[in-house]
Amino acid sequence: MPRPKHAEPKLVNIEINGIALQVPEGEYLVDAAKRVEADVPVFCYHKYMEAVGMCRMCLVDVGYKQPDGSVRKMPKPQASCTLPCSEGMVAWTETEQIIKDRKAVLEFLLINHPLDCPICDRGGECPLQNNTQFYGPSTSRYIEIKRHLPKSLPLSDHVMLDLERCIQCGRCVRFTEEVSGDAQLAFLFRGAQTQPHTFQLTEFNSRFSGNVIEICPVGALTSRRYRFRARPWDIVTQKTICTGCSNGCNIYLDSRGGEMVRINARENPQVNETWTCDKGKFQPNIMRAPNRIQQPMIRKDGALQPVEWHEAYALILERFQDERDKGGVNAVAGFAGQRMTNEDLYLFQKLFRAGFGSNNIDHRLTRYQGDLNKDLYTPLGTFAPQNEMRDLEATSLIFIFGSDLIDEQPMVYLRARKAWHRFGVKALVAYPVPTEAEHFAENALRYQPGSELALASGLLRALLGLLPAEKLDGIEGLEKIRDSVASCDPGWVEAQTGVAPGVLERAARMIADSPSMMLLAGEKVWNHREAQTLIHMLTQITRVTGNADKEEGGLNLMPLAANGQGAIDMGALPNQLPGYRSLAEKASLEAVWGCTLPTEPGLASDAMFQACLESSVKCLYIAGANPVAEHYDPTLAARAVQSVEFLVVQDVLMTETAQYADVALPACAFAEREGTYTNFERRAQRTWQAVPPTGEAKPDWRIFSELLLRLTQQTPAFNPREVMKEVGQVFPAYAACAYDHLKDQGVRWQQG
Amino acid sequence: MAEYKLLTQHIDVPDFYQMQVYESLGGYLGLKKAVEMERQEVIDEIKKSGLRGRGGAGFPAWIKWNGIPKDTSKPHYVICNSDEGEPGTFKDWELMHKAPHQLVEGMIIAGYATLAKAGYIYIRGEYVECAQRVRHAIDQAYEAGYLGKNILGKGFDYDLYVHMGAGSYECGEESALMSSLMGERGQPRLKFPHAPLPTIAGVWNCPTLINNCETLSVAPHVINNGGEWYAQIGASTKNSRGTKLFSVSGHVNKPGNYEIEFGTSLMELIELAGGVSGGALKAIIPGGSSMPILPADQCQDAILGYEELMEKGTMVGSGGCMVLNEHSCIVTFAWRTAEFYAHESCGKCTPCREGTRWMVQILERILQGKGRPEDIELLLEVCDQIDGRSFCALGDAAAWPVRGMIKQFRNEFEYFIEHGKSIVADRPEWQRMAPPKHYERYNPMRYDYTYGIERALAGKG
Amino acid sequence: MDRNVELIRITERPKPPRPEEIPLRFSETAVQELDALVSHYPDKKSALLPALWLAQREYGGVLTPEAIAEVALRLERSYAEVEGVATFYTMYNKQQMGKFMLEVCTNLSCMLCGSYRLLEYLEEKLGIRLGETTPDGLFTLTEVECLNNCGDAPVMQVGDVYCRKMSVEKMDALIDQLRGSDEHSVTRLADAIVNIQLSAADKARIASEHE
Repeated sequence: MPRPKHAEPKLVNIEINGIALQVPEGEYLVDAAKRVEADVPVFCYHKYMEAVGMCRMCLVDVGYKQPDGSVRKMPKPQASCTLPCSEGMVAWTETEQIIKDRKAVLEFLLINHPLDCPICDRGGECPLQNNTQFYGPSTSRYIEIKRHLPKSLPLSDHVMLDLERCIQCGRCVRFTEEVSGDAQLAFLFRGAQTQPHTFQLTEFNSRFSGNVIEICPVGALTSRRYRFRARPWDIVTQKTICTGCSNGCNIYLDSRGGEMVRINARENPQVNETWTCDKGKFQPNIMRAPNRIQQPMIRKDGALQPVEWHEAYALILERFQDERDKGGVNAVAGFAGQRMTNEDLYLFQKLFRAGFGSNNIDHRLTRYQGDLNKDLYTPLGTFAPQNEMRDLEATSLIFIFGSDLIDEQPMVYLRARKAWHRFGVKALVAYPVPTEAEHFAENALRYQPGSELALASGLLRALLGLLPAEKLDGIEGLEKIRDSVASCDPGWVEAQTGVAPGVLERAARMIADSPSMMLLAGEKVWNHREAQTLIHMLTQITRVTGNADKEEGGLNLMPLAANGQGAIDMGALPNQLPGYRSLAEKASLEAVWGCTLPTEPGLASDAMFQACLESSVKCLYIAGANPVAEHYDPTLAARAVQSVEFLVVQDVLMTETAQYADVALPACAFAEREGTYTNFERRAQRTWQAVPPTGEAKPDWRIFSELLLRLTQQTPAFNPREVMKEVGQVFPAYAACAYDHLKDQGVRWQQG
Repeated sequence: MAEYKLLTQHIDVPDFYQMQVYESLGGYLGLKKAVEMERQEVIDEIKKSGLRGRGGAGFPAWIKWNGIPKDTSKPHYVICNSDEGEPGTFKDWELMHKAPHQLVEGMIIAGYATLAKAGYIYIRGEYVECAQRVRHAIDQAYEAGYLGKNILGKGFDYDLYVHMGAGSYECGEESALMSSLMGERGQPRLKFPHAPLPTIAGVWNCPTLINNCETLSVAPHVINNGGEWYAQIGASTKNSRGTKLFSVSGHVNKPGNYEIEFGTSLMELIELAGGVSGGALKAIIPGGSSMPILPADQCQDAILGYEELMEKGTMVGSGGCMVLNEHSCIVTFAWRTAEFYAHESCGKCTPCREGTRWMVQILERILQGKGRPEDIELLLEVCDQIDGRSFCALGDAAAWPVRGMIKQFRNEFEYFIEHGKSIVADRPEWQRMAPPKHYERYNPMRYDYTYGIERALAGKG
Repeated sequence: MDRNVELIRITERPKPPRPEEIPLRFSETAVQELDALVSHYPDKKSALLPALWLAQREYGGVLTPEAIAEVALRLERSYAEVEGVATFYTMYNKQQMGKFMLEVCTNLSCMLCGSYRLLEYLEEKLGIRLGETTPDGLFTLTEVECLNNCGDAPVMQVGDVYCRKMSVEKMDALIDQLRGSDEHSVTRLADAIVNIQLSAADKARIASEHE
């Protein structure tokens, strides 16, 4: 059963250590105890995994109130991590016997533990160490020979296994079975020989292997990257978010002496729960990359030479203003990267619109460059994904369309898998080749690459035939929709896509029978040749199935890079102002900015690059992007940056694009600065500065702000907080995302 | 009060395992009677009989039968626990080997009463000979129309399968058995109140009736003769009804299975088994190796009954009655018991996994003559730390006998520690049974921690 | 400890086998038998224990990594999970055994009846230690936990048969008899167990498919 989104939990009366309280029925006693600040130590229990009650550390005494008022105590102590609270439950967590039992479990765990804490990476942040300190015996009565097993056995490039330290809590095994689903770790043998292994000790090649390091309550699984690099007490921990993809996982970035040493997950039940993917957790240390741009540089005599910031600014402004004056506003153009924060993106488009008077701004690297807020998507709201992460658990069908989910959106993959595993949510996958998501999908549509549109049309046609008439009633333009797909019969679909009519029929029936559906569309849609029509088709599927106005259903075109959603919200688009305003609605913006804005739509990225080739765009400003490597048509981008007359590249690294720059500006990496990112579910989340900037690097927003100051003589924003406040003025939905409101879990801006 | 042959009445009839012979001696009459009754009436008969689970815990059978939902929104299953592994017990062997049809009939009756879709007989992997008989009986029952579709024309469909274990004592625990049946490691699952009862969500998360082989074998007799009739057997006891098979082994002249009426005295059972052999009686473990030991003086007035033995500080358990004569060494016996549980611990929970190994290590050290006087207290404390703290009853079962032996025969432990040898070390009788000295040193199959490591190295090339 | 030192020097692990790399060795009959066994349960996973018995038979009495991988592949489970199950149960052999496995029960009742003396006798007679295999590959000597035929103690198991009330004389006779036998007790046991789990109808169906 999908988990209803707004279910009111039934409360039950329980008593813990003599304190009466009300808790939701079924909450585990170990969690309920936290409400009265009774600390119950645990090893095997993990909030985001199914409770098993193996380690016996959390034993408490439990009784039940009888109708006559007396309390019937259970004869044996009970594991509180698996005991659901029910009416009349009475628990004692600190009795003399319980304290003795905890000591006993710790003694048992320690008899075979090597106690090599001085050289253990976990030392100092080790649950076994901590629990022993608080509850354990100070001496051991064990004089026999300890169990000896291999130590420091590398399981993969990331994970090191030390079997002697293992306390067999099963967290890692359960993680791979329940959460990541690859089941690559399993317990071997039994009794005192139980040990976690991969199959024949082959490589542990999961995409989520880093999590087992974090959940291991001892130092049995350690990170090879972090190994012996620091002790927990000389680490500075800074909360921030990962900018690897648009999921926006909450993380802790640990640094030692200004050097990033590791990344750990930070709990956010709304987003990543407490997981990370290996791509994010083991991302290269961009701060210390050898090819960082260290200071501003200007091309002189064919090579980039270091200069002062003001020299670089002067040259940029001179050339941009010069060319604009000569060739008009279309002679200059700006390309914004999706790794930049909302503040950066906002100021970037302001720089071009208010500073240079040009709408030639874009951020898109995908083939789809059409309108982002026209009749295409408006029936569903603005051009933003409709659902949030936890809707996956509430919906009844997850339809993954044209996305290799595990690769594009790892956290969405985990959550979708959880929805299936825990709540029985069904899944349907449409992708040209087999993907990981097929393992839990009930049905998979494997189509010919490029035939997404034919498949979607065929599905829509089948759906119109299957859906009951009363459901279709009142859908605007139904006849038009019907006509548009009338020719897409199953035979035609099979010829186009290779999907057999029976398979298509089954998939359509699944959709038609589901009370709600979340459609997750990915890379194959963004890069489709007729993306506009395809998105239109997906919109219609969402509409006819009645998911357009459902809370737990809807269409979600998931951005492919960290702040792809923010770039749209902030108006880094040639024909759209911040807050989804068309160019015609510029008046309110002009009032805030105190200037007049251009009305002419600008060039989208393809056109922009084409114009560079044709020399109509003379000056190109690329900030935080590497189109030569990442554009869907890299040759076009490469030729454009080579042929444009004056190229400014502002980035963290000396990328393929930056090689061709006439002016290269050093930008701060994500951990060297603060800002906000908007993830795929429209959740604005803050990042904080964790390490000092490298060389002369500045945050992107500051570079734009300093350029704007030189251009407009207006008081610039002095910090991202102020920028965000201004964003709130021009896009009221973002007012809720002002820094004062952004708590650790971020704020999801609301449509409409 | 004496031997009462109910389940074993015809067991010595040649070819009793064949359908023809079984039917000629009143077989399948219980089933035929049951299908004429309402399902609830069958359960009520079981309730009237006062039948209690014969697997060890002695839980009233009818509560389980009655707990199965009366609708079939989910399929129901019946499981027979024939994973007999308790040292000293061999009653299920006899019942399956000699009277497999009796079990099959019981399974069908249970399936009828609980609206089950299918039944599984979980037999331990070693029991090939008797499992073949069960297979044969099932095949014959299919042929005779007692199994399959529309049984006896009553529109009741029921299939019976045999599932073989593969060597794990833990799988005799009902939730571990279900794990094993579902193709998992034989580790116990959460139990009530941590999880729903198996009658609500058991195997494959469906309502499941799981009973011991002997319990199910009783069912045809209860139905055939009526619950009230059955309840009269053993009426002299507090709350134990019917007959029970006791497997007598060890130092007796005629070891074997003896079916007695509850209320029979322990010594009477020993007499049935030909009396103690090789010397005077030292102690008896009445209910299988998990149960506390009874020294000779306490055996004299012991009555076989659930509550009666409980008063003596031990239990009926599975009925594996082991007799020790005066030449046996209790310390060695304790070590061998502990070794068994350490070997069979599934490794799921900490107390059992670590505690059982520790107990073996301490006892091994004592056997090697390196015991310390404080080891006795340490052993008792380790037992206390396991007992009641482990995930399933295997931990308790490991702690009870060792604690019982120390309690009843503390002097032997003290003697062993002080002298570095057993109190019976010099007797030739003991020499015949004692384990070799430094036994643990060649036990590579037991403590093979390095499996996989060899391969890891080989994989490196 | 040397082994541990050696292990530390390892820096990489080999990759797990890809499905197409696994040599499938189940015979046609075995595949049909597996299908029949799978049909006994509501899901494929539950047929894991029977499937491992089948594999033990098909792979000559030992569950090699390839056997585990094949079972995992056929039942759509992960390799590690199947390996975890295979190593949990003692009757699945993880290493090559001799033609005859002499499994002597040394548990309580058998101990009281002198099984350790028998074990010592066998060690001497076969010239091997407990857990070892004779050089000619005929006999592997192991001890097992209670075989639950305590009434006939001491008991030992050879393949699918129990040898009860064992004595030195009976042991001699048994060894002589086994030396002249062509049976392979380990696979015989696995075969017997597979056949027990297959119903007469299953067997008839498989036989008819073969014709």
